[in-house]
Amino acid sequence: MVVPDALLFLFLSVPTSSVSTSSAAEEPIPEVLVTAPPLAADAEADPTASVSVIGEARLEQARRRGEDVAELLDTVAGARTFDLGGPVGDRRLTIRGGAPSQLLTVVDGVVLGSSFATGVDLGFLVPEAVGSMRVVRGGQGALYGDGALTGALVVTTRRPSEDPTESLSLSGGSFGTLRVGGSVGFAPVAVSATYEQTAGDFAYEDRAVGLAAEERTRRNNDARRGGISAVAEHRFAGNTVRAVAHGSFREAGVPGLTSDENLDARESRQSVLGRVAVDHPLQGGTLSLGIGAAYLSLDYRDPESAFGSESEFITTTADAKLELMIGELQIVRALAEIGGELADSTEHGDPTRFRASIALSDEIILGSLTVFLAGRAVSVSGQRFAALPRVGLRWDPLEWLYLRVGAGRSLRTPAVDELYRPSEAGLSGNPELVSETAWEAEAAIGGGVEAVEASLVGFVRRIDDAILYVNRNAFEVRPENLGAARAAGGELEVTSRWTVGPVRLGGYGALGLLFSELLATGERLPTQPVWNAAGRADVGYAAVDLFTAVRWFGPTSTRLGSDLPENRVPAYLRWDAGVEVRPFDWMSVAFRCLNLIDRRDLQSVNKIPLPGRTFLVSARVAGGGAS
Amino acid sequence: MSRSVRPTMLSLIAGGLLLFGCGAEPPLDRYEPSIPEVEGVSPELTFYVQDGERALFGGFDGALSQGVSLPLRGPDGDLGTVVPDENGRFSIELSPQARLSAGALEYRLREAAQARAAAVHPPLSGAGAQPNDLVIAGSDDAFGVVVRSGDSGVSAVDLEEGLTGEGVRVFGDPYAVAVIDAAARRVAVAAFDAGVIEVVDLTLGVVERTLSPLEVELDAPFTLARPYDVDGDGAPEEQIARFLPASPQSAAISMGRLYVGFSSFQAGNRGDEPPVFLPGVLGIWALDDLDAPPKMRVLPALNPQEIRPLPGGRILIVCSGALDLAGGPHAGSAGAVVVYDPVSRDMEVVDMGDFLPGTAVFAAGRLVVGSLARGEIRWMQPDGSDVRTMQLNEEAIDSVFRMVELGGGLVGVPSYNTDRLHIFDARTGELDPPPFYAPIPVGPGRPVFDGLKVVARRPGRRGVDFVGPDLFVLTGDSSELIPIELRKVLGP
Repeated sequence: MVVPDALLFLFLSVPTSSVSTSSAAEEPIPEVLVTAPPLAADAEADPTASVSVIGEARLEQARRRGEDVAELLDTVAGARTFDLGGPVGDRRLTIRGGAPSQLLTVVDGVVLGSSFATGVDLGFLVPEAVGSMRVVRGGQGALYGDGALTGALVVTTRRPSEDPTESLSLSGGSFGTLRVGGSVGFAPVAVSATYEQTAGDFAYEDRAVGLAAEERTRRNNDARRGGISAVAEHRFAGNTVRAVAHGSFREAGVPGLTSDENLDARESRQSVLGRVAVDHPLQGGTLSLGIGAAYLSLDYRDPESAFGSESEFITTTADAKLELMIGELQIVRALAEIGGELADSTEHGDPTRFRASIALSDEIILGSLTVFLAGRAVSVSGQRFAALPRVGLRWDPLEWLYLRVGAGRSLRTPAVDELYRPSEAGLSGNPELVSETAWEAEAAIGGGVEAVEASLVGFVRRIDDAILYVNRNAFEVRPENLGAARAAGGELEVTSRWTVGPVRLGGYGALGLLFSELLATGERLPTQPVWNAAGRADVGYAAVDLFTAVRWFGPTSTRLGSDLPENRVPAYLRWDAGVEVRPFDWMSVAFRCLNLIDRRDLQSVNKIPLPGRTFLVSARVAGGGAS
Repeated sequence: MSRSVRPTMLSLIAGGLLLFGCGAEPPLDRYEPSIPEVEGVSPELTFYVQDGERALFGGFDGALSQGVSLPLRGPDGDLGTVVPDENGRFSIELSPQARLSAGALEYRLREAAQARAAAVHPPLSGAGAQPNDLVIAGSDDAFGVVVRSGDSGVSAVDLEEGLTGEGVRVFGDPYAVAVIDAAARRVAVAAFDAGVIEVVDLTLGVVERTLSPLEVELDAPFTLARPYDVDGDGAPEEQIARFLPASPQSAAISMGRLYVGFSSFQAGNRGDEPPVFLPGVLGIWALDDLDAPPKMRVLPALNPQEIRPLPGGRILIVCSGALDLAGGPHAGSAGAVVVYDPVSRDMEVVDMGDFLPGTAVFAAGRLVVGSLARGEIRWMQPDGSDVRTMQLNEEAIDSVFRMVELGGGLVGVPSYNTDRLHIFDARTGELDPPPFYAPIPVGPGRPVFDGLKVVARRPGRRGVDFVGPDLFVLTGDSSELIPIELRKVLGP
């Protein structure tokens, strides 16, 4: 049982049954290529929630092909990663139209936090270290607590296996990009490490309404990043002790906006997280005790303006979790956790905050019907107490069909910087800011036969005290609670796989819609397009696979209520393709071309240009279970 | 086919019922009609408006020439005659009647709120990313020019269609523009970061030449707000005696000369430490010999934000003083309004203290000054005496970036935070006088305001020389070009 998401308390008591589940970490590499995350319920948490699982098979495929975590997540329905600058650049995940700060990222039970409302850089996560990822779409306050306003990314690192495994991968390509990674695993320890770097400068086309397009070069865009991850598991006297530790650094230029280039600014970032947990078996269940901490350091230097900033942020957590099976058809979970946040920054001082939370849940199986009830109480110092209930139903009337409905309340407490940054030019904090909360309901229908799986989800969300960044005056932008906002949307996913003679075929398609409105002004919320689509396809024959992926977003408004071209990121269409060859069981070589049609005017967010056609070659050797 | 016709027919029928069956007023035409020329009368400065139970017929400075009288006639007969005061103003209360004849002019009784709202037309278009300046030039073929800092460009604006494809890339953070030759569409663009002036031919789409300032030697050393490496030698200076002016931020053309204000901004706030500015400098180029070295004049205050030509070739320069943003915008040094006489080279200085002046105009013989950081204007005698203050709103911080002189002693005063265009009567000191009664609602205001940044006036007499909008507002946050037709409020 992975610790992070089982943050639930006990509620009712009825027996559990065989809800269709997907244990991602144990998923074998399929004979037929499956390019999409399985459409699985989150068995470990809420079977009525919308969850996409990226399992070991897909991650192993990504390791062979040199794909990064952001690429994997970007094709998940309802998810989008903001690419902030090309190779080895920052990547920020968003779910269902929210901001990166409105989703929670949990790695091995440790919440990745920041004192800034920027979300988490996905570059911190590398496929070599990750064992599985679950993208939980929709607000999940009862399950994951503060921060999961629009969803959660739950990551589990690779576990040590009984058989020795080892791998080494190397990739390189355009813009002086080089990546080397490796892993070794042998019970009780698994270790992986990655280093990557890029010269980063690339050509792009600067387009502006009414002006001729301008060929320019993105400069000061070099980056270096490295990380190491270690997991150890040991069993004694029936107990399981697990210790995980991750460390990473990133040092990079900060090129600024196209309209305000910065050729000298640099940033460096170090992050460390660790957790130790003990699982103690009980009759019909498990008691888990854990402590964890995460450290993030961010430095920024701009010699041109003689400006610099330094920020450090520490989060700590201690938790106790109880999971009990009552009879065969009921699982109850209870959790209590306390924690704190310590900040020390030239930007917002050294405030501290304390957190406490208790949660319980009950999963009951009544024949083909599953009932899920959960609730959480959250207290964060300086903010209002919040109660976050959730209820969900799942009905499996036929072996190939399911229906789900769920509703719950979620919460996002403002980041430290949003509260405590002093009033100054540009961006300021707002000490009056209160947490934003959201009620979200969704309904889904889905299922699958052998070759095809599909799901259709619709959701509605109402956010109260929505936090948006608006101009306070001509000189200052700051976060404000702007009252209620609402959003509605949906996701359609289809996965298919066939074998035609010796040829393997796999395909995945996703379509998302999103409508939103700030009630105070009647205007659409910015930063996410009304529609988006993603597709992946694989064709395999013997040891050769051809693969391709497309990501397509509609135009994205960057300002509340404005559809002017000036306030819009144009439609984004990126088409990637590649080929993978496995000459030996222990070796693979992959060649990829990103942005095959060489769109040079791509922006993922306003005025952040992205590179045109990009070539990458990867080679990997692996032994044991890692091949 | 019937599918597409039916809703249209239904809507026509419904519209007809509303119009005729319910007795509603037909919608106003898009633009007010042109006004006939009447000797001794400036009808664009007159108004006829509902004022409570009464109607008010009036005119601002210069509405009637001295010795001219206007006979008034309503549907029920003669209503008397109006004669102007010594400023050409008049005002008379009448019983409200839908129509009023004043000599050869026919007036329609206006309802103030409706007229204010009707004056604001839908945005012409966007204005590019981070638009910073807008000017309107030309007469019959008037056009606009907008500076788009975020796009590194300058574009021509069609006054009916908005932003056009006629534009040029100008790198180095273009900030302000002045029209050198309207007919040839040549403009001078101040590039803030590059520290130069680009002479641009919009028709050909090229940068013709680059004008650079000359180094300035100060009479006495200038002490920096904090030690700063001005000359880039790695060692911070505390004082400077000579420097190359930088950060051109304002520009104007007058009597064959190009005037550019250099703020020489060096660095912003660093924590609680103040920003660094060097002395403000006025650079002067002769348009008939742009190759000749410019004349550089050191200004008596920091940060020249605005330059306007005055009658007789004089120049009005507004120096805000150092804009310190630590803890909210406030003055880091005293501001001043300067009138420069290019013949005598004299500078008349009006000290503005900590007001952070950002814009100023002369109207009705008074100097009216707006603040970068207060929702407030001050007006005074031209020599700076008899200072009075008018609060625009309750905003703790607001900005009046660019006022516009409207004729008749009126001044248009845009409030950034509230999206309201106030009309200030410099003759009476009244804010939003009749027939306005309240500011013109150009944008939505809080919580998400458009940010009225620049108000530019079309040359000529509204309604007489041209029909349609006479003011064009550039919004800083929503990046829009919004036309305003004061004729909806003023005139026959």
